Amino acid sequence: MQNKVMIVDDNEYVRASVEIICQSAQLNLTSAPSGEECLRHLKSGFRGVILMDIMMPEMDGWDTIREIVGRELYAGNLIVMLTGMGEPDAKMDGLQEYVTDYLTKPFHPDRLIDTLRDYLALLGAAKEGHE
Amino acid sequence: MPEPAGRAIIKGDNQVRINIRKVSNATVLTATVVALFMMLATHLVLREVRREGIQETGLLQQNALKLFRELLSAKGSDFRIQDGNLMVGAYLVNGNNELPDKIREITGSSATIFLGDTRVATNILLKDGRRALGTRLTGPAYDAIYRQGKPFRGEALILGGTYFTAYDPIRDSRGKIIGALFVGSKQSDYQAAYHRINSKIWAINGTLACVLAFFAFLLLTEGKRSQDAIQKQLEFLQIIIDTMPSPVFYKDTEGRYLGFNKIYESFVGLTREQMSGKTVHDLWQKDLADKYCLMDQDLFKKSGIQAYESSVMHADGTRHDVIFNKAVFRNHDGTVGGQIGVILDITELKRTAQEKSRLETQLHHSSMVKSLTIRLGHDMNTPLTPLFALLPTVRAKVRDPSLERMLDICQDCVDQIQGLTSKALDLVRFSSKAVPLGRDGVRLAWVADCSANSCEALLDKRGISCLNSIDPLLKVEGAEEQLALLFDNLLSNAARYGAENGVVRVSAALDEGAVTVSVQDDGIGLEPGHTVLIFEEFFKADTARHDLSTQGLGLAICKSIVLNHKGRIWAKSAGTGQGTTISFTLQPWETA
Repeated sequence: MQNKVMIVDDNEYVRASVEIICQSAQLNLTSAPSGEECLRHLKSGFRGVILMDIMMPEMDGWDTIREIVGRELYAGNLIVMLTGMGEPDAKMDGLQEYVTDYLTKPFHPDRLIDTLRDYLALLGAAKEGHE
Repeated sequence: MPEPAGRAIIKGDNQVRINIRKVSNATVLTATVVALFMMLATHLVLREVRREGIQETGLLQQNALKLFRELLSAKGSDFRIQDGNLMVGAYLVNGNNELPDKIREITGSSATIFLGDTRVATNILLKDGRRALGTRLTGPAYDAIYRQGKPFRGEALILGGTYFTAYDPIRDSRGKIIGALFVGSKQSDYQAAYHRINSKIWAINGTLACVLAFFAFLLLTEGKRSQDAIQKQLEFLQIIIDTMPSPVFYKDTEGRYLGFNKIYESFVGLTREQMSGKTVHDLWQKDLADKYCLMDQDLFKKSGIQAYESSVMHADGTRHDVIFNKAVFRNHDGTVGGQIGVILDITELKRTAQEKSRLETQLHHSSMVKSLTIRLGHDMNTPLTPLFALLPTVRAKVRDPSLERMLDICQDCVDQIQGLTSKALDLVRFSSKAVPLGRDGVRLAWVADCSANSCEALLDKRGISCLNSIDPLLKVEGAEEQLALLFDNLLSNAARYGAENGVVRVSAALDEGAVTVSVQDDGIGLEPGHTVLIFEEFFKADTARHDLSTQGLGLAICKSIVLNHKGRIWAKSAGTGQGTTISFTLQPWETA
């Protein structure tokens, strides 16, 4: 499956907005309202660019990345963190290497699409390299 | 009733001094009295000795005379004058010194036999060594014998010498006085012995008086030395008390002030003379005195240590918070002597504690505000995200001009909310945030260039060009992220308020150990009173008041960032329409 994007955010409207923007850009989007759901999709074989919100109830963005890495589900994916500000977070220690970029909320649709296309291209190039 | 020990502290030295002085004086007085008494006694004894000596001498003369008469009686019983010579029996007296010499031999006395008033036999020698034969009897002895017909006893002048004498008349068979017998001792012989004794006694007296005087002198000297030593000890004790950094006082069991240090005097504003011996009722207001009195009574009742907080009026008229620390002291015999108290002034301590509490409250409040703002920022960003993401998408699909206008208004409002949220978060994030010293300095020119690039669209929109003249090699101490935000704010301000098609000049100069950075525009300028106000949160000059794309937080953020870098920030403007220069200082980065 090509152009796969996953939005992990507990806010329904944020997920819906990303979905609308991705549809207009013809990007294939998987929507996950929580970290657990994200892990479930990865276990089911999702590979692509993951837009990860940091502040989520129960399992936040950093906890989710720790689980992805711990369960060896990181390979074949790129993670872009959705953050409210550039504030460093004590919980990110040791996990930055798994984060490809940060996208500050709120974001302009063009910025989102550009970012996603860039990293999908990167993933595609990497995949071709493997093949 | 034993004297309170507290008073003894004060009076002790005086008592010792008085006692030493008393002992010294008593010793001197005693020595004088003893000396006088000894002199009187000596005088009386000598007088008695003299009187007895005289009596004894008289008796001796009497006995010697009796012996003289018996010796003569052995020669015969009838005294007569025969051929001008005195005869007794067949014994010729005239010129016969046998009997007077015997008298001297036996009694040691002088002896003479007179015929009429002439010495006819004697053992008295003249100065030339000859016997005083032929010399005459004169004076009271002559009168007694020849005029009154009586014996004579007493002192008499004989041939220039004074004698203790005894004269008896010699009568012939008819009872007529025809001569006299004399025995005597030369007074000078007796007085020589008397004077020897007298001199010895006076010598002993003098020696004793000297010894007593010497001891009195020693005692007085020692007393003076002891007084000086005690005085020095007391002065040292007072110096110690005066050196104590807190007010100190001590009182007797009756509550009378016995002593205090200088700090106490200045604390209460009264002098030593005004307080000594006074009670709290003499010195303070009744309510305060009653309180102190009650506490004193309680202290004496429990007889231990007492500590309590109180508020007292200082001599300077200000009210001070203090802690009274008091303890009972005892006399040598174990009875309660009084109390000693130390006043600890905790006014400053309490003020500091209150200030600390106030600051902690303020800090807590500030922390709450910061936490709330961050939370609010995040929570606002979440609903802003769909709006921000969807509005342009919707706008792109709309072709109706009135709908387009409505969507543009919505987009502006969303931009305002987003800008406000973003700036408020920046302000909170960089408020009082200490800047960690980087291993490498921050290249200032590069940071300014980056900011100019990020503001390029805004600058280009108004045809403003940015000239960065900062030395590319200049490095400063600081946090790159904060300095970038600082330039972002300053350059976006310059882009908004600089002159259309004008120039923004960014420069830096190293001067007196600090880097002064300036961002100068040639735009709308500032009113004179606004150069300070522009750094206040949410301040907007009138010209910018209706600019919905600004929040009035940019320069407040700049101020926070510069303060985080221990620098200063200020604004200069020649007036409205004269452009504005914002300057700030940073520390140059110095390689180790």
